[in-house]
Amino acid sequence: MSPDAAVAAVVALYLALLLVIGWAAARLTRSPEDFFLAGRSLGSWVTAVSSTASSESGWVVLGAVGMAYAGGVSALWYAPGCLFGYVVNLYFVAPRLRREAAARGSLTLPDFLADSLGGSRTVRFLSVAVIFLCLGGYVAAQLTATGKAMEAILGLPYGRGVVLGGGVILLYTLLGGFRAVSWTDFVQGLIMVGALTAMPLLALGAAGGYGPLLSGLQRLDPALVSVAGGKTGFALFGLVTGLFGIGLGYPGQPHVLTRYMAASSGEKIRQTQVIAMVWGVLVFYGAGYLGLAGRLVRPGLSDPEQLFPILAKESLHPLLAGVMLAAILSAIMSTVSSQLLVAASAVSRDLLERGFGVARSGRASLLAGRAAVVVLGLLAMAVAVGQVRVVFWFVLFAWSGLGAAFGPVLLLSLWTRRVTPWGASAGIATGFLVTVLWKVSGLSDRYIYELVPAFFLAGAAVLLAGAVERRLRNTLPRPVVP
Amino acid sequence: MDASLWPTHLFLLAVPLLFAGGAVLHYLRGRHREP
Repeated sequence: MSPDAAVAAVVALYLALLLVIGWAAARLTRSPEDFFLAGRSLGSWVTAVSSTASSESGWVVLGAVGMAYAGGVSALWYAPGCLFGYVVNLYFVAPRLRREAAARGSLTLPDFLADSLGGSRTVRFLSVAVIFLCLGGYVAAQLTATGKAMEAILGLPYGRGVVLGGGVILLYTLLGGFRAVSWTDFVQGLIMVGALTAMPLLALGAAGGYGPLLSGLQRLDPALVSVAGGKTGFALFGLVTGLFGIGLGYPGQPHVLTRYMAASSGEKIRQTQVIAMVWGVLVFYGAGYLGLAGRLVRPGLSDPEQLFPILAKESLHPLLAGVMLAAILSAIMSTVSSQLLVAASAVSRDLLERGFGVARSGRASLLAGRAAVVVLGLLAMAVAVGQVRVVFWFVLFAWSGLGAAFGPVLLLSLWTRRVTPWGASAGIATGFLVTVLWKVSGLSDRYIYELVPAFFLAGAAVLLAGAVERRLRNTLPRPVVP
Repeated sequence: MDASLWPTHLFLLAVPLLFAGGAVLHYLRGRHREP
C-alpha cells in the first residue's frame, strides 16, 4: 500500500466511524430534549472531552503551533489564557448552569437567558441574532477549512472536500442531534489529545530534550526563549492581554455551554472539571512545545501553520500519519457540528417554537430541528464551496462577539441577582457592537484585542441598565389592589 | 543551563503543572460543593 493510500484508508475509516456513531445516536433520539440536549444524560468523560474539543477548532492544531514556531516562548501566553477560561467555565459556570437549566427546562442558551428573566422576548431575539451572525459565518469558514484539509491530506479537489467533510458532519448531526455531536466530539477530542501529546514528544526528542531545546532556540534568537518576547512597555501589555484575553471568550460560547447543560448530575460536572483541565493542559502546551521544537527540527518553513501535517507525513509510518492528520480534521469537524447544531436550535427552538409559537409539539419540534440542520448545513456548504467573501467577514469577530455578548450576562445572571431584561439586552448588544466597532476601526491591531474592552463594557452595561430599570420600576405607581 | 531563564522555566513547566495539579487536588479533596 502506498503512503497516500494508507493515509486515505485511515481517514476513510475515521469518517465511517463518525457515521456509525451518528446512526447509533439516532436510535436514542426521540424527543426535542434528546435532539437538542441528549436527554440531559451525558457522563463526565463525554461532557469534558466533547466540550473542550468543540471549543478548540483547527486553530489549536495549526494556528497555535504556528504561533509558537514563529514567536517562540512568548506566544505561549495563549495557554494560561485559555486555561483561565476553562477554570471560569468549569468551576464558576458549569455547576450552576446545569442545575438551573434543568430546573427551568431550558434546552438552549437563549432559552436559559430568557427563562431566567421571566421569558423576555427581547433577550431571546437578541441572543438568536448574535448567535446567527457569529455562528453562521463560523460554520461556513470551518467547512472551508475542512475542504482545504481534505485537499491537503487526500488530494481531493477543494469543492469535493467540502462536500465530503460537510456531508458527513451534516448526516451525523441530522441523525443523532446533540448525542451524535457529543459522542463524535468525544472521539475527536481523544484523537486530538493523543496527537498533541505524541507529536510534541517526538519533536522534543528530535530536538534533544527540554534543555537543548531552550539553548538551541536561544542561540537562534534570545527573544525566542523570553517570556516577554523581547517586547517592553505597551507592546508587551498588548501581547499579553491579547493572548491572555482569548480566555475571556469561553463563558460566552453557546456550543460549549450546552454541554454543561446536558450533564446528567452535579457529580458528573465535578469529574468533568478535572478531565477537561488535564485535556486542556496537554493540548495547549502540546501545541506550544510542538511549535518550539519544530523551529529547531524543521527550520525555515514558509508557512509555520503547516508544521504539524508536514512533521506527521515526514516522520511517521503512513498509517500513524493518517491518524495524526485525522486529528486535524477532528479539531475542525468537532467545532463545525457543535456550531451547526446550536445555529439550527437558534432557528427551530428559539425562534420558531419559543419565539413565534410554531412547531410546539414534540414531534413537530424534532422535525423543525432536523430541517434547520439540513437547511443551514447545505447553506454553509454552498457558501464554503462558493467562497462567499462577505460571510467570512463575520468570522473575524465570531469568538470575541459571542464571548463579549454572552459571557458577562451569563456570569452575572448565575452569580448575582442584579440582571434584569433591560440589563441583559444592553449587555448582549454592547458586547457584540463594541467587538465589531473595535475590530473594524483597527483598534485591535493598534492597541488591544477587541474582546477585552468589549467584555468589560458589556458587564458594565448589564449592571448599569439593570440599575436604571430597577429604579424606574420602583418609582412607577403601584397598581391598586381592591 | 542558563540561570537567567528561570522565568521561562516557570512559564513552561510550573504553570501547566499548577493548572493540572490544582484540578486534580481540587477533585481529590472533594472541596467543591454546588452552592
